[in-house]
Amino acid sequence: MDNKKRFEKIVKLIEKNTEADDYIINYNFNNNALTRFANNMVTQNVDVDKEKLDLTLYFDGKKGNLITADLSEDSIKNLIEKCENIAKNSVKDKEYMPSLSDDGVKDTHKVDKKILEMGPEKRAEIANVAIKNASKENVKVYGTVNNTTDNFGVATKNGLFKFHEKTTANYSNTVDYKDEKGANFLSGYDLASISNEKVDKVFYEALNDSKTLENRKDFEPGRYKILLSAKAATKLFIWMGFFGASRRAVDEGYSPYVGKIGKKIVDERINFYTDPLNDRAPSKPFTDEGLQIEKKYLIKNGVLKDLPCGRFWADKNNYKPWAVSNIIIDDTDKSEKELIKQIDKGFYIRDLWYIRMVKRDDFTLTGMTRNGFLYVEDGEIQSGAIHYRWNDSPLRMLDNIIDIGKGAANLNSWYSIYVPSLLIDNFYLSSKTLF
Amino acid sequence: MKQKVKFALDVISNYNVDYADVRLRQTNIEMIRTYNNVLKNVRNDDELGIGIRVLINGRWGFAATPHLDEDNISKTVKRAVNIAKAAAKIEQKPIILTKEKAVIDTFKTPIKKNPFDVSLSDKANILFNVYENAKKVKKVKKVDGYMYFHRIHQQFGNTEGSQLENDIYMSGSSYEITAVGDGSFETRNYQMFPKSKGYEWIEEQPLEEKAEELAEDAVKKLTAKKSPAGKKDLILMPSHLSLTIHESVGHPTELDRVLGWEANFAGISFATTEKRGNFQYGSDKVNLVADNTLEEGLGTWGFDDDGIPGQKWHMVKDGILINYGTTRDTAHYIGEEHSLGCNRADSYASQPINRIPNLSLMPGKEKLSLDDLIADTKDGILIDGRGSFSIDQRRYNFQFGGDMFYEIKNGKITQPLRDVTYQSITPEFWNSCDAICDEDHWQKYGVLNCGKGEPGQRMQMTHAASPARFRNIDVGGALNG
Repeated sequence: MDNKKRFEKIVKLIEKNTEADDYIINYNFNNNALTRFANNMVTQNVDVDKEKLDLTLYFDGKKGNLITADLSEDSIKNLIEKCENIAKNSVKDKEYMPSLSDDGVKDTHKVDKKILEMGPEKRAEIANVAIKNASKENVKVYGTVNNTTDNFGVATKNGLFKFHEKTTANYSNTVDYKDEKGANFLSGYDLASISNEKVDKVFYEALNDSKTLENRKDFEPGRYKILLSAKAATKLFIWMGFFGASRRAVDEGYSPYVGKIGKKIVDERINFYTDPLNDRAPSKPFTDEGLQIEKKYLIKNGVLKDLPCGRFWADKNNYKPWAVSNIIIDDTDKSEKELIKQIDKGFYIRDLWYIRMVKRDDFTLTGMTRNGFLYVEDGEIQSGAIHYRWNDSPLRMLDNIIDIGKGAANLNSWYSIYVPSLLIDNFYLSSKTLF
Repeated sequence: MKQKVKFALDVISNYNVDYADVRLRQTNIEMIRTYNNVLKNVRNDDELGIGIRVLINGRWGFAATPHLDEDNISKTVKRAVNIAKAAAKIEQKPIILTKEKAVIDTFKTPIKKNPFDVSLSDKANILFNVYENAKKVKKVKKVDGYMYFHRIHQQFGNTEGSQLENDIYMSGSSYEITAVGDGSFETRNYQMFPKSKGYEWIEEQPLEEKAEELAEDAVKKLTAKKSPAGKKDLILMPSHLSLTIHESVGHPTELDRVLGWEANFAGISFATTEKRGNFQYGSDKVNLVADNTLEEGLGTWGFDDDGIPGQKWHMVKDGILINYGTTRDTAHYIGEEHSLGCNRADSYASQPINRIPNLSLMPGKEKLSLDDLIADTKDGILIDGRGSFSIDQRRYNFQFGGDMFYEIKNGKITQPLRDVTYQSITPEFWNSCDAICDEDHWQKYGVLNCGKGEPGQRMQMTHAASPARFRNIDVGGALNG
């Protein structure tokens, strides 16, 4: 039985067996298969199925929740009984909103059949491209080949039923040349995203970075012009999808966007939006409550248009509820090579690491440069550079844009994200490390 | 449960494997989130499944399933075997395991009150009371409350004859108070320090009593003096040091990371194997001890997921790096015949990986109170609680924030500060440690969400410390560029 039919059967079983005033049922199936290699050897090789049913129900506004991985009929009947007991001994949810009803939107899916059929042999074949290259080049390679399949379902007492299926394929490698490391990754929803040819290409890009780092130079901390590669940018701008991006947080005063809705907050070339059906970074097109997610701008032409808003706050304040499912920043056709030409003196950042919040009210983040970190002078890469800690805000960075390049996707993250490479002025590299 | 493990091992015996283990794990996690006096989110996650790991010709294969009928267990064994065989296409050095004795044993966290027997309303009402107390302070805009309970009940069996059962409990609660001022906002946290205990740990803590005081702290931070920039002496409280220990000692001494196995994701380590026994990691006052038998420690599981009983050892002794955290498949790389038992998985569905054990900074040997330490400090900052944290992929350059900061001038606390960050290089930092308070001040703080591995896993462990002083540390560089 396919998972959608299985979920439909479960929904009917719950409908028949609960006396709750209201309920929301979430279903999630995940197959995660991953081959991990290090020092040219496979260190982990997994293929894992996980399936969960998440039931939230209400009696007189009192809320209970229970999640189970056992989806047999007896287990679900037991789940209902236990969940009802939790709800009856719970407290009133003061922000309870009745569950959503059918909105008539048809299910959409983003599935590559080749991913569904992918086995350990194919992952070994892909890993072997990098491992053979590493043997040939007498270097070490570390990385992963990963394919996932996800099914999401949501149903409510009020008749809403949605189901979404998606696949992803991810490949990443780090190449070690004389203890210098370069890295790169591939990410997409189909197997073609991690073809042997693409793996071969990103292996050699990482090797090239590690070789460039061999003769790295030392620079003083300060503010510099930088080109942030699109792949590195996916790791940084993901933060803008969740931190402070809440209409309620703005209204109540604890968001970096307080007082900024409707105002220009970044460079006018920046368009920042969510769009789950966009092929560049597809994502689940509804929330766990079943609220449909459509294309919607957070920032348009540099102006903060609106921020996501939950159903309770929207109802209370006469807003429209909406949510973010993926993040896209519009790109251009300019390559990173073209953007480098605009740097008189600065750095090309090819990877970032360990990004954390420092100051919430102005959105200052910190992190490190990692792997490919290259010094640029007169429009040319001159050498590798010693790695830096940086402290800066994505909002300041988007306001200090010099130019925008071609984008890259990263589906192996909290959200699917597609963002461009960015040439940025006055980026703050605050302290050096020892390598 | 035992029968299913036995059945899986019987199926495995039909294949030609070098080694295999089977973990049947039931996990129950309850998470409660409140927003002011609203029950924002409640999750009761019950998970049961079987994970099968096989070693064939030096290659791992791992497969897992939540479907526990004999047909599905047989298919999962076959899947693990096929995965290991598929890896044979790749020419590589074999995975080698240490030789260990078979162990038959059980372990149970001693608890007085099962947290899963306490009603949701009793738990939520504690957090609502916290809100009622906090909101007495003007400018408090919100209180985010959190409670967390975790039970792991596992049966382990391997092809060498080990049969283990452990039943582990963890309990914790915390909250964050946000105060809003003119154009800015500040937070103050009840520093969550979950322990491997039952619900009695929630009842023993001053969760409600501390709320008003912490709310006042949040308001003080709104108008506090901004962090100075430059070199300062730091007094770090155990609530803060727990994270510094975790990031700058715990992760660099995970042997898989030292060997490069995490190079593609979590990073590598400067604490490479040739430094063992001769590297001055810290001053001679610094003793860092790993202890997976530590009472109330979140890493105290009885045995790890290789089936190795919990152990205690020095990682750093009198300032010198002397050992690592090891697993059965890494220990031989440093010439060890046995694992120190650091292999743990966060789910039945995760292949176990090298994790940080309970790891603590041992108290100073001489009598020293916190008041004495402050009185002995001329120009410093005291940092309480966890805040921002980030470290490079070799674990050298780190930057930490905190939750509450106080200026120290001429041996006295003078005023609160805000936006304090400090930045250092790991060995320089630990070598600057010149004083550690005595054992009367030694406190344990749990880490709930240590992320590592691909696919990502989350693990728990505890770090204890007494307040300690670090001389001439760079402060304020993050926000003064």
